[in-house]
Amino acid sequence: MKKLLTLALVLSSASAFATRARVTALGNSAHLTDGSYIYNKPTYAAIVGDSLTLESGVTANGFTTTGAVPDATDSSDANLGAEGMMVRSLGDAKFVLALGHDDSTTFMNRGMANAIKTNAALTYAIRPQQNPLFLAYATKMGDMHVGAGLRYSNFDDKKGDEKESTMGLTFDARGDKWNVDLDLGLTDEWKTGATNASPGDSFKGKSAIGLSGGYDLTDSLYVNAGFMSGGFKMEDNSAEVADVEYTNINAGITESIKKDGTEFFYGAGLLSTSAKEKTSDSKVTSLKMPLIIGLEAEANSWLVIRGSVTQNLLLVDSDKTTNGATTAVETAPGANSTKLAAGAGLKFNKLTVDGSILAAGSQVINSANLLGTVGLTYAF
Amino acid sequence: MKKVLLVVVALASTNAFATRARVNALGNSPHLVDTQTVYSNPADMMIMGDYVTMETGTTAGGAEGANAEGMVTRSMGDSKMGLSLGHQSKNASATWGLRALAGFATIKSQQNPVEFSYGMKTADMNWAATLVYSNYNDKVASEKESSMGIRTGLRMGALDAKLNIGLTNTYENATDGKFKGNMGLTAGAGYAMDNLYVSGAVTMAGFKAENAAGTETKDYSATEIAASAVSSHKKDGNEFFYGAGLTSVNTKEKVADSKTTQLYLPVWMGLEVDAASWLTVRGSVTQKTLINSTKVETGATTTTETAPGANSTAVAVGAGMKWNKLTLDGSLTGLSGAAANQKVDGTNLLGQVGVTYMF
Repeated sequence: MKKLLTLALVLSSASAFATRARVTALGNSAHLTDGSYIYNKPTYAAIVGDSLTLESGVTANGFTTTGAVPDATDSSDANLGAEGMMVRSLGDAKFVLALGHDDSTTFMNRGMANAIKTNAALTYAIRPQQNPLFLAYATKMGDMHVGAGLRYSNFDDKKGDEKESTMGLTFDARGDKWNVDLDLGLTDEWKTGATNASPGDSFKGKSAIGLSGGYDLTDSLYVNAGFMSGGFKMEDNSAEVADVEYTNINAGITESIKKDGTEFFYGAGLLSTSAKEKTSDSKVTSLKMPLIIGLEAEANSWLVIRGSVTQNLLLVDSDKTTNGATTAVETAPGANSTKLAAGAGLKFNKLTVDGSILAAGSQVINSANLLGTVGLTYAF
Repeated sequence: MKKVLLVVVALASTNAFATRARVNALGNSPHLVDTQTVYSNPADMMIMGDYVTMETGTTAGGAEGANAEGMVTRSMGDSKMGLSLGHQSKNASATWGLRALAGFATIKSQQNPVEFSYGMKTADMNWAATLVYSNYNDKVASEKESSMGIRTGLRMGALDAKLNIGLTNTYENATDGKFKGNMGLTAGAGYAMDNLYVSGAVTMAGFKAENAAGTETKDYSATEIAASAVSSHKKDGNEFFYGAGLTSVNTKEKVADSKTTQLYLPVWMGLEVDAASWLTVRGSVTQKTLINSTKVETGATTTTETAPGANSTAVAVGAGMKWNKLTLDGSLTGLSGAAANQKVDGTNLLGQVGVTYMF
């Protein structure tokens, strides 16, 4: 009986949280189990359970990313679009259908291209994915869960002479203590033709590959590591204006302590990024040690409060940007990076409403600054 | 006794929610039965209890769903009567319907539209009919508007069907000229099979417009054919559903020789959950996926051609508050629509609020 109760508690707990507002509030910590991770790890569908998640947002999502280029880790605006995901059981397997989810790698690549366009004052109106669709299937094989996902988008304006398309695959496997996932970006293209108002503009993603994995060293200690490589070429009026390649390597360790429905965690990681833009011979490298402290507490039966503080440890915090032989940026250690993210989850039986609070440095909770980035999850 | 209780619970559940905020939050899924669906199939009022519903909005209207309106229904034995005030019909709307396409500098929607409905239960069948009427005449400014239509519908077990006929739809003023709607027609049917509801509908509408000199300026016609299937799962007072459809829309304007053809595959998922005894939360996500083509031609010139088209993913979320027999529904405005700002706060709380009281 006790085991059944424990199982029910675990299942209800797992089902209760699954939105991007939640993972953002928890600093995107690698040890989390959340429905929004299904896009990279389809086997998480089995943990999340049958559910429908709705994420509020705009229909025509766009880019606002500007600033230093290339920046191979910024995909924050991907969270501004409307999307939804359904997880359904098919016997022992799980089927996933998601509408509108902007793939983080695609969004990041095109966001970088958009930033290059802004910095170079080009007329270059690149689009994000249009009506992206995600399908996944996960099942159990012996003691192991395996899953695969397909993401796809397509847009063709024959009169305006503009096209966009993406396709990618993701595979993952998970055992009792370990998990590994492989992500392959197969196509990632946008272009305008001769009759477009801005003809001859194009973006072509290079084959992207991401590989990551994690292992539970103990009941509370989780280690993870990952590798990601990709790039793209962009043309303005048929002339190449950028040829970007990047590689990110990360590793981390997180200690998570759970008690009475409350989780407290802290961790450290090491993140090395290297990006190169060949056309202008610019290069950006960074080495950082991000630290994180996080908390997710059941304030009462209907309210969950969560938050995290992150900072790049000043002992390992270097950034360098070179343009040819000229060093444009070099900081070691760098400027303030301490960030707080917080959120709240309201639980109504099988429905959870998650949102962010105190966002963007706000220190105020009032009627005009209540919940943001709101998402709903219904576990059925 | 158990079956009777189940029926009562099911009916109570259906009756508890009703307004355009609700159907919008649920993505206008075809399987819904609501006080708003009575405006397309009058027989829907026969399977709901007696009610009075009021939808907030302006007197002059504006965007779709922005006008004030209300409806009351009363049973008399096996029959039921309904009276609706202010409901705007799409074919006669000057802001989001056919009249908006006339190209007039000044044009009015229906003025003070009123609808009378009558329905009856006959053996296993519920049927109902509605008469729609509006009239306006400014004799000094020489401006007139009138409309008349009939809606009929039936529900018989798992089957439902509807036939809406627009009889008259006219507008004229001394400066812009005349608008005259063609006979509008909507015919549709649906069938429920356990959790699955399949439906189809055909809509035809059109109008002619002429300027003050009597020269024809528009000759417009539109045909829409839609078919869909929705799988709905109900448990513990909660409903989760998902569906897909195929919609073909063809419009033609003969004077300018322009033509629009659309074919799209809408996919949607939605939920309606009793969050608490007094609170219902509902939401949906929709997308025109995979098949999504649009072509607009004027003469031999193609002005728009997308296949597939641009982003259409939209989320809508709403809430309903229940106090005994009274329900107050609204859309969570920060979480709904193509430009949702993702917020729930004091300035982005309930919008498009409607109130329903079940007698």
